[in-house]
Amino acid sequence: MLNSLLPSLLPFLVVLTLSLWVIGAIRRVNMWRQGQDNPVAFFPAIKAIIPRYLNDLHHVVERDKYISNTHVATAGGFVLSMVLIILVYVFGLAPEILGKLLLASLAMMFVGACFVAKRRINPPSRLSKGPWMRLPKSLISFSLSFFILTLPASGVISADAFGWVLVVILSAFSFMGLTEMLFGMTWGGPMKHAFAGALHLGFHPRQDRFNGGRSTGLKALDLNRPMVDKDAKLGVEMPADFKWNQLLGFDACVQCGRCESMCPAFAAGQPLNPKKVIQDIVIGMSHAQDATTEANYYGSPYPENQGVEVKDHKGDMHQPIVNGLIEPETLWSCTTCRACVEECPMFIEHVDAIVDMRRFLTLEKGQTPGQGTQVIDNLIATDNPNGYNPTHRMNWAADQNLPLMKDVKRTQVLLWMGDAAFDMRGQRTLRAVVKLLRSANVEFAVLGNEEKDSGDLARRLGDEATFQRLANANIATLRQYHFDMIVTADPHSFHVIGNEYGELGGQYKVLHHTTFMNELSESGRLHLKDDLRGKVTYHDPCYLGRYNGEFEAPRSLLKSMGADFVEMERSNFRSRCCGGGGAAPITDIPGEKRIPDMRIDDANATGAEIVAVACPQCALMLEGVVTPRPEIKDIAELLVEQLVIQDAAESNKQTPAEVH
Amino acid sequence: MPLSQLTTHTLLSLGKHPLSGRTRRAEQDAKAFELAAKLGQCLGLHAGNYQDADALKSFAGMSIAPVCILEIEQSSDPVAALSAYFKQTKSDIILTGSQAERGESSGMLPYLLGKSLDLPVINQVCEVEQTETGLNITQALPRGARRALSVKPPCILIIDESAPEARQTAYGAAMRAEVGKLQGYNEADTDAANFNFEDARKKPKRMKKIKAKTAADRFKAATVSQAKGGQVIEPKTSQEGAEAILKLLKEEGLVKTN
Repeated sequence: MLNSLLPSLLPFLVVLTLSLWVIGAIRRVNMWRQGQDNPVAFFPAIKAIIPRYLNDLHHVVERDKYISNTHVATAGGFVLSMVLIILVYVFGLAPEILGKLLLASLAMMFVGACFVAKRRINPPSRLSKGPWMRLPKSLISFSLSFFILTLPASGVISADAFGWVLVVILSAFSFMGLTEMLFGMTWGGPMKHAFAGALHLGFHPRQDRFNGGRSTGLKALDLNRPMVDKDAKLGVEMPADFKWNQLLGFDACVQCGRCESMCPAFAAGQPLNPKKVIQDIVIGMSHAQDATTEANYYGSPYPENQGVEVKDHKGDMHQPIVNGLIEPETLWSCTTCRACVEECPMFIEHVDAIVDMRRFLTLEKGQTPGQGTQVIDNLIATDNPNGYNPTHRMNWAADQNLPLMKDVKRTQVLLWMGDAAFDMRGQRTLRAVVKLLRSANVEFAVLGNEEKDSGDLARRLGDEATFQRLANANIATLRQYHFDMIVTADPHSFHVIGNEYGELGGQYKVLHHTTFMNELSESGRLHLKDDLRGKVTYHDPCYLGRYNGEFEAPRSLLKSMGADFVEMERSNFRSRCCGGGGAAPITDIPGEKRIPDMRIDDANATGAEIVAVACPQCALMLEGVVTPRPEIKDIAELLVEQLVIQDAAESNKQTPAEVH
Repeated sequence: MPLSQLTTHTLLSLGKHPLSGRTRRAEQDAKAFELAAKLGQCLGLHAGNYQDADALKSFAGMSIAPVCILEIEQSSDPVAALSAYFKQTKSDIILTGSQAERGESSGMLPYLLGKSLDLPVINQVCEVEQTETGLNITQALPRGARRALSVKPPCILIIDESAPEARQTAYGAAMRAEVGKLQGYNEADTDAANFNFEDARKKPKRMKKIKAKTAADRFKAATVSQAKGGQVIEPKTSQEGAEAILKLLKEEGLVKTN
């Protein structure tokens, strides 16, 4: 009797685990759907999964060659094997041919699994342990047991080569593998990332991110909701307040910890670990009330220091996240530099989630920490974060004789000054920009006192109301005038006006000053000497680089000045934040180190004498580091030093006037 | 008197930002509201025009207590209206700021109200605590000195600049809040009818005569604080030293004479 049952044992196990997979899948989808609506067209999303996997996702995974090759072998081998297992064992289709194919794919998976196992022998600290340590065993058990069982099934060896004891033992191993791979995929386990991750690729909240696209602007909040619906809240209080596909994204986390290794706040010992933020929300939404985050999380904790005690956390789908699952200090440590988002192979949007939760704290609780309250009050009353008299915005240019939009009405370039106009360091850069524009004979004008803060700071502090007021006021001012483009030396204004005003009705062509100067230099309107002295390195501002993809223009300018240019270890899309973004200097959450100090260490390692910056905030943060340190200069300032002013009469070409 | 039955009113006015002139919650009134948060059942009261309801929501957004407007006409006397209101509605504690940021800004309102209602007025209040029998009040005196008072309500308390900072206004809570309305307290302001209003002018400031000849002198003048008054005493005996200290403490009013 046993012999007659044996052949149907394996098909039974496969069907059993597949059925459990389906039930689990329905349960998981229902869990995500407890989040808020955020419609994504169904079929295009499903269709997009595979191309996005092969193209976008693989591109990110490939930054770690070892794991990308391992993943291709293991995941590719598994998917192919699973399809063939169903065909061969459940439907009994062409075992002779498909069986041999199955052997090949299982072999590929086994090789991959061995490399997974090798990575787990002495795993880096960023990887989570716990159930993740058992994954290579499950992978090997799955591939190896099915391989041996398929040998007779595919006719490679005689059909009755194994005794029933061996068959039962092998079947037990394959059941173990099937449980991890199928049951675990939808009921929760390391393989969950495959199911949630695939769907997240299709139903991602930022559909524009894929296929070479870029989508970094924050989405506007409907501020009228509380007036229409008394129960509606602004921002995210509990897991169910996230959009359903944000929840899907959190569930897709593979706990690889790449975000953690890139996070400047984590490195500085501030109480933030992007991976744990995501996992805390996941535990909140998917576990029973008695499950604490500490008992269910196996990665690095939040760095603990200086009175920010990281307690035992609990929560569920409908319990407040802050002070239940996550401490407020964690959310306010973020510099919104997007290094974690850029590095995440699952395309999780950490920064969006953090800003969503900040919005609730500021708009509904009135709990903006540190100087945040005062900054918001200043922005409300004076349109600038430091509470300067709004009619003094143009004072810095008293000697510059700048044309005002109010007078000229129409110009080619509108120079957006930003709040640097109130700051003596920023004013030096602005003066340099003005000198460059004049030397290239660019027709330009400024808004003068009509300009207001762009709203970046208010928005990152979670004060969407003040952001929208400032943005709408600026849009109304800009609507009165005609200009071809906006040029600004402030990447934050650049990003906000270019990417976040659109939703509120302001569409502009905005260029960062380095982009514009590079165009001027390449078209021969800006004449530069190519003898810049000293070794120079360049610090990418997050809001210019990662947010807007401008890495080339500043480097090209430095090279055209003849700079002895060196890259820091972390540069371009992996650049380390200066610590000045996301209102982090205002909320000022203590850590063991300061982020700008770490950045200057990066610069020192290159032996550079000058750190070129392209952002007033970066200049402030890096110049705040104690000497000895390299000199901090905005690219505009370096350009002015290297500027050759063409003699007006063009008569004396040998000795062009130098400007200092 | 059981504590839970204490009723508190905080008088709220519209502020004006000193640089931009924009309407805001009056800073001192917000501090008064903050203190009221721990004094039992409370109501925020503004005597004025109901058109200002939206601006008053910045107080409601503090989520301390409901905010209500005692509607009076432009020409009405808020003191008379408030006095009429408090004669009808019992209040154990009335908290106010010391001076409005707009309008007459005389700082007289709490005193006039106290006179009219026959209530004690305590000024310079920086801390209030409820006790079994009444209130423990900390009064801020000049030069950082503090005085503890024990007061039995009803009373009017005027907030000092040094009272704790007011909490942040939460936008969502402010938007959701509904500002109440009370009517029927109009009483013409006969005094103000004869006032002649004109814009305030800044007092001209006498410029400092710079005596320094060199940059180093100017630097010193700008950085080294000039000692005013006082004398250097080199006491021969400890008795002499102690007397000098005691004399100063008496002058400062930190030690009672007699």
